[in-house]
Amino acid sequence: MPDTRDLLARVARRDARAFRALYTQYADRVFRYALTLLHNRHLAEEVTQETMAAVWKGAGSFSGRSQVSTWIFGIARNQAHTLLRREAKGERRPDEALFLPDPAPAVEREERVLAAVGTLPEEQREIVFLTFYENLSYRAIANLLAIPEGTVKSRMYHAKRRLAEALG
Amino acid sequence: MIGCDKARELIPWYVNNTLAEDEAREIASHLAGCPTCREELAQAVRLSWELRAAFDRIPTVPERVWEKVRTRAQGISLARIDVGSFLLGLSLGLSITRSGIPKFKSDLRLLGRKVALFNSSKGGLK
Repeated sequence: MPDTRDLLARVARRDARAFRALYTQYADRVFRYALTLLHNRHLAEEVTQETMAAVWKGAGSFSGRSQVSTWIFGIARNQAHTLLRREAKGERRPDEALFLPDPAPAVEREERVLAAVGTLPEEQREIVFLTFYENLSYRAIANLLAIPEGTVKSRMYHAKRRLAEALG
Repeated sequence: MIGCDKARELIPWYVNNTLAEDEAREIASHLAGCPTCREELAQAVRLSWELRAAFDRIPTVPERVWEKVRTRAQGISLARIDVGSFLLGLSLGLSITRSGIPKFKSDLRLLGRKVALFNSSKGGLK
């Protein structure tokens, strides 16, 4: 797999193939992050579209001070919050389950886990996702969310406690 | 030497292997002598597996999103003229994008299969 920084540098030079490769690497991850935050597929698609379009447009402005993933998730987060503000002004779309129910036992457990994640406040949900799915360090998460490192740790502490209670 | 509170605070990132070397060393050293925190670690590892499997079950993004992103990145087609037949024929296309760069495209269709002959936007987004 090509180096992500190299891909982004090529995107900044308007390399269409590099953009397709970067999209392939990130679109699903951004979509899942947005769905975890918003619980709405239409909005998550919109966030993914806006984020990847912003990556194409703004690749040249990437400073290199953070990881590419932190930069892209930062854009996605801003887009998600912009949409949430827009939705709050208008009619709120109903929340959806994160995936369609499947009767297989292993899947049932996964559904329970996701349902438990869904009961967490948004601020804890995203820390759980970024830590355990995206494997970001607490420092990278603090940087992405623009909050102190101690706040990241305390949100994780509460999230873990709630998940343990919900999952037994 | 760190205590239990500090160790438990950092265990999620010990599990995802993103702690700084000195922090990871301190946690490992604490875990060696603390069964309670080792149990906490085992729980965090289990939770991490379960969460990863669960997040993997979230659907992937539909292909239509790429089509929308590609269209936005490349510019929106403002006009298009096509000439051709479905089964056998030559299709000629001219489209003008928002960027103002005209694109010419020509392909031959044999029994509905498209064989590209010429495409001025070959380096574009596919």
